[in-house]
Amino acid sequence: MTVIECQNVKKRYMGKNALESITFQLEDKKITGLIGRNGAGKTTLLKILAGFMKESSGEVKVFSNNPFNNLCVSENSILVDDQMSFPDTLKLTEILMMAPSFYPNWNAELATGLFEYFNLDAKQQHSKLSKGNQAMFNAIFGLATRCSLTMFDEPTNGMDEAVRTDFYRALLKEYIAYPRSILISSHHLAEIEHLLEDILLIHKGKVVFHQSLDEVKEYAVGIQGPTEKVEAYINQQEILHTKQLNRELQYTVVRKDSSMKYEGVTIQPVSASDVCMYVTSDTKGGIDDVFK
Amino acid sequence: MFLSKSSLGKVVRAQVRFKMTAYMGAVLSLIVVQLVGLIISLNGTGSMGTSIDNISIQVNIVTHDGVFMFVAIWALFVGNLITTKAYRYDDFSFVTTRLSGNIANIIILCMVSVFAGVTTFLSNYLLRVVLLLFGSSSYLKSPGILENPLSSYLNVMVIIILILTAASAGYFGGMLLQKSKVFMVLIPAFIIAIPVTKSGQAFLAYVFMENESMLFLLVKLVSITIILFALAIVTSNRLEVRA
Repeated sequence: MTVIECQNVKKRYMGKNALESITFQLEDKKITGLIGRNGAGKTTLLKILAGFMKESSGEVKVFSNNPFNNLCVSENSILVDDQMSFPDTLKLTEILMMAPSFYPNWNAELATGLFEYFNLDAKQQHSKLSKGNQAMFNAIFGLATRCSLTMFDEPTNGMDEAVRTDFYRALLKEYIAYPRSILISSHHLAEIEHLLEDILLIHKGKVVFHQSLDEVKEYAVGIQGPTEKVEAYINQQEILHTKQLNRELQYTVVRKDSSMKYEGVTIQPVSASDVCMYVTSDTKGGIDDVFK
Repeated sequence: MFLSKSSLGKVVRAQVRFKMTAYMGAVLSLIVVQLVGLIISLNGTGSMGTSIDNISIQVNIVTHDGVFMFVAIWALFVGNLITTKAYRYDDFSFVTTRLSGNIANIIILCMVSVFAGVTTFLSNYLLRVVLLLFGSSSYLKSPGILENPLSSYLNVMVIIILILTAASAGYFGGMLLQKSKVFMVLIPAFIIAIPVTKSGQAFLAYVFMENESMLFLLVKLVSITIILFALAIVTSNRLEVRA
């Protein structure tokens, strides 16, 4: 079943087009990574999906409903980000006690278990927590709701290394125990790669690709060898990235074409994280171009 | 995939229960406001004196109007307060739509107004006790519930509805402010315009003076309140969250 359906979604925000044209579909019960550079429109897209913002044009459907002002979507989806707010008159435990009356699938056992594991202070107010603890509390809240669509926007911002690892593990275990659609945004793909089935890469408000992780790993190859040989191979292909290693050696990343036979050069696989970085960069040489 | 489906009523009920605990701070501030109003009221609003031969009579009129004024202003601010980002965003951490959030807020404002109205009415009695114990008056006279129950109930109703009207005005104004900062200028201009323009004066006279009985006043105030809340719902129905 399709959970999210976006058709040519545009969003004007602060006088700019935050989203140009987003079209994709998200299938049920998968963990999808929403990857993009700073300002690519990840957060805007998630907020539209959560019903916080309204799309300027195009069609957004979550569970076959437009998420803006829809009770069913609000009840079956949650967006966890660092702007989540809870009233200061409530202690953290009171917030957790309040949740089951809103979310029928609320898993209180998990919430208290994680709450104690991460040593959160039960009497504390949400706004008084440190950035890392706040992120952790929001993540716990998001996981415990067991919403059919759980969205995380940079959930690990502010968490330390150990807590991050724990969070990813908790996420995976919860997903296995109670499968649901999870959309997790990050600009750090390598860190969440082991969780993901699919990758949705957006750049400048447009979808670059929406593929499985395995496909992304096969998306490109790196050719390394003497400059003239490498250039002979790449002249008819789209160059994603190129780097002059030294006077003779050149390293170039191109779209993978399995029919091509390469000789005299070495072929290297390109990691998913690098693929996403090269595909979304404006220049072919990266930062080196600035220092030429 | 199994989707849970709640009715609007169920969500509003959960939100009202949530807000009752979350907005406790606002209710507590009411007590402080009422105490300040009481202290100011102790001085009395008017007095007259006369003396015949060597007997002098001094009449002091003491009302709880001061308390009421303070509470009405407090209601205006509470109505405004719960439209601010911090309060609106709290809703969106849980299940909500803009409509359900608005309905829950209106129910909360009604409940708070009833509480504030009844306590304001009763502050009259507290005032009397304080004056008896600490005042210098030798004789105190005032109408009570037992003497004229019907009029007292009507009084309480009018106080409650007036407080609710103030709250609804604050709520609508707050929502306008959330919509656009232009209303920072427009709202004060509008408030000043009411008592100084002809049509504004006519409106005030129509609402507050041309009433054959308190009931007419009640009906007019309730209508104004409903209109203000409805406008607030319409205004806020497209407000974006965490934007």
